[in-house]
Amino acid sequence: MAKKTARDHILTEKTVKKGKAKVQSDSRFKSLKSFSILSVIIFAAICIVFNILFDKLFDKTLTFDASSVQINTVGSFTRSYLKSLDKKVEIIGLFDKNDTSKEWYDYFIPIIDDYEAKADGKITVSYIDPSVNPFIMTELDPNNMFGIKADTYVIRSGDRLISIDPYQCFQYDQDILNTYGLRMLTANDVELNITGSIMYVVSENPLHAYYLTGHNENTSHSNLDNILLSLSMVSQDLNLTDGTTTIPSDCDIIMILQPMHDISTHERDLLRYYLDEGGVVLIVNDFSNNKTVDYTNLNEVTRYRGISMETGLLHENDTRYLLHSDDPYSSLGISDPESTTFKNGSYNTSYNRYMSLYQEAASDIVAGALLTTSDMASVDYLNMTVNNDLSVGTYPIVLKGVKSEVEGALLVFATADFTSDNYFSVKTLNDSNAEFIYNCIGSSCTTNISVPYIPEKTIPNYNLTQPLSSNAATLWSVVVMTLIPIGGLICGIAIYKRRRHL
Amino acid sequence: MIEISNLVKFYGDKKALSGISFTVNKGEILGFLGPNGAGKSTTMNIITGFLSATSGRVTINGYDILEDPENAKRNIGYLPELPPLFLDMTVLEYLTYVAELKCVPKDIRKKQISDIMKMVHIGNVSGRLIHNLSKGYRQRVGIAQALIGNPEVLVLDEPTVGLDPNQVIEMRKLITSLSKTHTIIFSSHILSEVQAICDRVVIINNGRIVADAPTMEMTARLEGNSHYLVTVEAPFDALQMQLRAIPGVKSVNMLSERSGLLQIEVVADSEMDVRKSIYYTISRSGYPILEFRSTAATLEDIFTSITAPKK
Amino acid sequence: MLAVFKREFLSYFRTPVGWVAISILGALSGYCFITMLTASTPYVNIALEINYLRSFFIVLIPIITMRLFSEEKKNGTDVLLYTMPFSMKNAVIGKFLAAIALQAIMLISVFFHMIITVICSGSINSASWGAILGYLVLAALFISIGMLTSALTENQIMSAVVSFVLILFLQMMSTISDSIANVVTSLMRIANIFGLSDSTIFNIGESIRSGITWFDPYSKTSCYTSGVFKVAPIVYCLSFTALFMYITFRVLEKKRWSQN
Repeated sequence: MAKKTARDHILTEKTVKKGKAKVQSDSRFKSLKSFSILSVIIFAAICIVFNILFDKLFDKTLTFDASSVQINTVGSFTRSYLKSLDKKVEIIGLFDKNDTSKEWYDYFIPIIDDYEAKADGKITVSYIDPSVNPFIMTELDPNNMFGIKADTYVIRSGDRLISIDPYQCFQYDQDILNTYGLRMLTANDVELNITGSIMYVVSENPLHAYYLTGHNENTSHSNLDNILLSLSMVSQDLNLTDGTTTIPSDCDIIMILQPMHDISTHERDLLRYYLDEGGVVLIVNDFSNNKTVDYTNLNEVTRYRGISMETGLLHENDTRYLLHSDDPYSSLGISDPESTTFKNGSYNTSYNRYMSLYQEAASDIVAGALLTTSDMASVDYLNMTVNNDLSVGTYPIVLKGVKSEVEGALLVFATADFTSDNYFSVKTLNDSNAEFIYNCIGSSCTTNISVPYIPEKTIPNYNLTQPLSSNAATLWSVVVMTLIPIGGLICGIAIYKRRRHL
Repeated sequence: MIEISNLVKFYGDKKALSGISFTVNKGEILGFLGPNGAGKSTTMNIITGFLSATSGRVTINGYDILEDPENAKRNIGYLPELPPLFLDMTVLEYLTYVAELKCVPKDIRKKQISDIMKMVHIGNVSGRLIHNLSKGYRQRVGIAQALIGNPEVLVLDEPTVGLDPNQVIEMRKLITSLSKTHTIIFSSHILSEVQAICDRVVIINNGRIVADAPTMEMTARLEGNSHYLVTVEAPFDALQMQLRAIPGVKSVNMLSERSGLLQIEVVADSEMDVRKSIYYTISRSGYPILEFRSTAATLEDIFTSITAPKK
Repeated sequence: MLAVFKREFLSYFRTPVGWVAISILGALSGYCFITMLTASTPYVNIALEINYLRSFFIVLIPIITMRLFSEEKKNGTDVLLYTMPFSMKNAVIGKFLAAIALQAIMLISVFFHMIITVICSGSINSASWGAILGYLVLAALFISIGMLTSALTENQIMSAVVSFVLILFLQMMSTISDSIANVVTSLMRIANIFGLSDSTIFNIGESIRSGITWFDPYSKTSCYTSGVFKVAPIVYCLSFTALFMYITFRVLEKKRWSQN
């Protein structure tokens, strides 16, 4: 007890002493201290709040796309389209936004942000990782109608929804893909896809395209899909071989791409009926892989609109129209100079099947060529000998047949250069052929195509056009990797040593 | 010039300074005397703004070191106990850096540096790395650093510590010559040094000022006693009795005793010479005298002698 | 300020520190460059190289910043800065500028690579320059952090370790935010006191995750690599750089009022 009092006494004495000593000046230190701590806290708070605000308010507007070809910014058409957009659209990325391992990552995130920025709040972008939140799949697609997968984008407005696979939005270097199995991006169709998808989901009357399957058709048509999408048209497969399936009522166009064998009579009848109902049928049948196939039934469909497919290969004799002087089977197709739709004038074609106008067609059928060879072409037959019976002249490459007072049309392509990925992956979607098919389908399926074609963006190519020889490369390796660092170290040691003895 | 009022400094719970106040007038050279750990360096660090006080006020040339540090510091050149030297720089590089820090105008920078180097005799080492300099040279570079920018006040914390005797003498000469143009506060734990150079002495012990007087006055007060050290083979008690009896002897203290060997200190009035009497007294008793010499007063003696009369 | 900058900057080159840093970065960037140059189809993407170099901040920044203040404290030279007629702010800014200048100089090897690229008709585009800008802005942020740790301790190694850990934390922010969000959501699922539905809990976890990753300087500045110039990440990095520099200043100023 006594001890405690003594201690207390000391304590009080000490505090008294301290208090006494602190009389006038101590407040200055205290105020400096509180000023210091407060100012740090306030600065930190301002810093965080300011940044959050800045991020929210100005991030989108103060983003400048300095990349070549404006790869991360929407183009002028999309911009004005987004301004006029009158519906709410959601873009949902079904992956982890922070996972940068995907090769397409850099090409999607910035431009999708740009969509959000340019749409004045009509477009909302979110990222949901299905591995973290598995509910999202059933939430988006309760009846599993769309087959949504992870690592895709979903674009939704109201109850209409479209899923975009990022891998479909690029062109790949085919050589590298075939040789090494690596996907080396060469061009970027993201804007084409996203804008088309938005147009599709908000459209009053969306268009539907069907690819006929069951005859070993060419299924590699992702570029054509992109072109269709820019017409706000979505595509899916249609198999009519079972004899019971009929053509869906929402079908706006049926496409038959390079079938490897003939269609059945049932299919023939369905297609004829479909044409009579005002539908559009597009047939691509070139002369590369299917030289000996007999297309009797398919031919009956085309003849129904005044076009006859023959067995033969067009041979261009006018060297001015050849793409390569030593290859008479790759030539330029010439469009009608009067045409306002196909202004370009000439388009690349190759392995064109010999086609002709069917003379015994009904009288209300009007068929004509949209694209022809020069007037010096001839036809090679299967045995590769020039057929002398057919005179040198102008042959059609793309034909269109219509029946008067019936909507719709039949489009026949004698070459695959307007539809196949093989062509577009080399030439990209900025090629005039893409524009040709776009206009062709567009003018046949809708009354007005107000949508200009959205150009594809070439991904910057970092390849060295004048690569070093292997000797020079080794030399540079030695210089860059060893000489420069060692030089730096030697400099350091030399200076250090010299100074040490000063 | 420098006003220090009521400086208190706590290091945690430990009180390092308890209310120090003194004033240094313009042109004065003040010796700041105290044993190690008395609070000299703490006081100097507070004066120069390197440390904060717990309470109290320091003004230099009218500028408060806490409220207007930049103006206050402009008037100070400071040589801390450990000179603030960059070992990886040469002397010239270092002094140029300090000159730039002190915003010495570019056109007079070179001249000032070379003048100072001449003044403190380091011109011959200007191109050497500070790392390779001896203690004495480093100390001088430290002083040169304090002199740059021509501050009115020089604060030198134990500038002679660790120097050899010749260097000490040179350093004292240097400080004396500087005192003509500067106000100097100079700390030391060696009495004679302070006596030799300073106009005024402030003595500090345990964080308190124990004396503040002009050197003359202080010397007079100190010289009241003479001290003698005697080593003798004798029992202390008997010897003390005999020595105390000598007129003029004020006290007899035992310093050590080892195997019969006794070392004692005799303090006597300096007015009377008691040396003969001490000798005769001891030898008469038959104790052999092994050592007998007069000693200088230690700082402890000063504190006792200064504080004793007041008690 | 200029004096401090000059001294610190030159001191990097008077001691081997600066040279070693340049050599390390030279070797790392050289390795990356050569891999690209000798690939089956040779290409050079400077932005990729810079991106690769960004992952070495964790080693290089502590080397550069550890000595800034702790060495002065240890050698007692900080007295000089404290007793000079200027504000400590100048010392902080001067030292920061010296460190960032060294960072910029370290990129000299990349600049050299760019010249080779141009000679070989490779492409140097806005993405390359953007990546360099992003690199420097990020470096500024990390240097200010390293400087703060240096001001807090007088042990260089301690300072280096602390800044290493802090930069590691920033580098792993997305992983950390994931695990924090996962822990929180699973805890909420187990002890569901509030009776929340699964999707609400998920949303809470998601907002925790995005709240934390919002601070991630790496992902913020990654946009420059693809050639997009955003102002917000620069503002973010530089304002936080200023904040850390201010804290450093205040930590140093503490001596003026500290009672210990």
